[in-house]
Amino acid sequence: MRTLESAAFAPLGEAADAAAILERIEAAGIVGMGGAGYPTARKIREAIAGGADTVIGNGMASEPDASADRMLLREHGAAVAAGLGIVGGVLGKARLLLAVPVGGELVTPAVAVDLEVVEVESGCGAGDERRLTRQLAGRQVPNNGYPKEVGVLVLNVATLFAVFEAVALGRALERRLVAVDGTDRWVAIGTPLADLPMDGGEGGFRINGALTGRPAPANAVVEAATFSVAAALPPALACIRCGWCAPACPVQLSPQRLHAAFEAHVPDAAVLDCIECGACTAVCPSGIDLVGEFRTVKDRMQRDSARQHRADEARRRSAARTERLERQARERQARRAERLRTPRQWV
Amino acid sequence: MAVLVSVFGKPSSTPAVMDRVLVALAPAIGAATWAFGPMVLAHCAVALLAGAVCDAASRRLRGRPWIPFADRSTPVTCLLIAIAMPPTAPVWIVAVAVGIAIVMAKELYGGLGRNVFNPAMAGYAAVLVAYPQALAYIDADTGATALDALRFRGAVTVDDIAQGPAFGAVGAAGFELVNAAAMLGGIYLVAVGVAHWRIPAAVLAGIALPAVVFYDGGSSASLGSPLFHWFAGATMLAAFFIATDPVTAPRAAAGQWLFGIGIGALIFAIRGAGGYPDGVAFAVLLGNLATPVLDRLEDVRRARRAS
Repeated sequence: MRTLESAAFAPLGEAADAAAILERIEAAGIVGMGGAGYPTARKIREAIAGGADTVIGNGMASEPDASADRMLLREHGAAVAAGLGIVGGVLGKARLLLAVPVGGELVTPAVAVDLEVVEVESGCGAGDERRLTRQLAGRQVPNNGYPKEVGVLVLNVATLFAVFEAVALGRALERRLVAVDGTDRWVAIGTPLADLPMDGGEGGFRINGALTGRPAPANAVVEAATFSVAAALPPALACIRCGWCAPACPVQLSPQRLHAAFEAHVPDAAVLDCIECGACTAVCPSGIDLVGEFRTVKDRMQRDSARQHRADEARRRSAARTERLERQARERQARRAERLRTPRQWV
Repeated sequence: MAVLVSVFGKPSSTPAVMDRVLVALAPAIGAATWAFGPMVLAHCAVALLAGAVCDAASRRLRGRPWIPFADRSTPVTCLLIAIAMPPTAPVWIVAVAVGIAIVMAKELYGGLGRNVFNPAMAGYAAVLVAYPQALAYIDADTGATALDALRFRGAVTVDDIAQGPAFGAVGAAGFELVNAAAMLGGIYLVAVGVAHWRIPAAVLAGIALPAVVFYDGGSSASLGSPLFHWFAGATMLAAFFIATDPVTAPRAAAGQWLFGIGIGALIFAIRGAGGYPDGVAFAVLLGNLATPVLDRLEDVRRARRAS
């Protein structure tokens, strides 16, 4: 593996304006590195459009395999904080918060950025950006909504580090910290997973964690949003209804029942309450990827409901058109009858 | 040391769960061998052999990799059948019971996790109905067992027959030792988190409640004390190893209480008034039959709470 050291751009000075910084973030290819992969410049622009006044740096690393984020905070805390400061500068006057797990590694104190480091109770789903928005900014994100709707911008710490490197050092996003089979390593983005220094992987890989991650084929590569790579989980055994998943679920669902519904292809609306934390998958002794199944079902249900909505709309439009045409025909008829009734004057 | 840790920790995989159950069965097998002789071990061996063959064959037929005992639920079923069998039973009946349990009660329903009935009890009940003569508990020393003596005693008081050789200190001779050993294994299962205490407690309560009601100190109409019923027949095996089978038991707490109490009460009813001296197999199968209804009950409650 080759380490890429490049300075693709000239570093931007202190005086750089927001537009130049956003352009640089875009040109450096920075996307959400906490797993989502959403273009960061677009996310910041949307937040500005929504009148954002708070930026939260997300260092919660609530997925146990997100050790790369913890490593980054420990080794490059000052750079992460500087990245947060740059984003805050783009927004203008913004409150800057850095969320770190309780008892975790704090950022290096010698930080010239005016930010508050907030220790948050770690645990299942603690890094969810909606949850952080509620806990740290005290604002409730609406259902199916994003923090930008309540004026908050949440960015992962690796993303903030990349922002710092792009803006202050002129470096494009070409490498990232990845937990390779439990060891945090700098890996060039685009490295084939099969080339990573680890055992296993013949049966495919699992990226971004045992809880919230997903399987990846053997020919996949490390992407900007790939924070961990491990060997694929062993094939699942049958559900023996042991019931360990129910007490593990933080939103009081019965994953076992939802699993039965999934296998029977019976829709169960309760699955829409699943927050996809992956706790059920973690405790399942049969190694069933419960949260993966629920994600599939939720996607399908959302697609179906969107399709239903489109069909309803089309039906409504069609009915309205038929009614309009009939009304116009009636009106024409009436006018014609009226004309026929009134005798015409021959000139 | 590592083995000890792995045996005393909470298991992380389904095969490990089954391994804990096998460990927990060891005291009961030892006690049964000590009480009833080496035939118990022969039954265990035959049951395991038949189970391995049935397991591999049915997996082969279903186009799955045919490694016997891959998930270790089959040996659990085999050993439960072997311990439930009277030591005088011919070995071929043990093999038939295992075949019915694995092939018909489990694999034909879709394999582990899909079976409606506890496989061990389905297999045992089938041969109990088919070969009642061969499966009568006849002991060379004591004649009949305590449960037989209790059930078919005529107008004799419990206290009178309790002097007989079929009775032990609190329960039935030999059986009380097996029950105590099974209870020990069961407590281990609860301690390592494989089984919850709720179902065993419910089964024991389900036996004790009617036993207290009908116990009148030992007249000819008495059906035996609660303590006697706890330590006779296959009570502890049923409470800790069979009723707790998660596949065939209800999911939620309320359903599990009803399920366990129902099984306990049925065991007592069949012992007291049924055509068989012990009723564990039939009681568990009837309980299994109620499981979908008890689960449905919970779903309805859940839906009502949500709305």
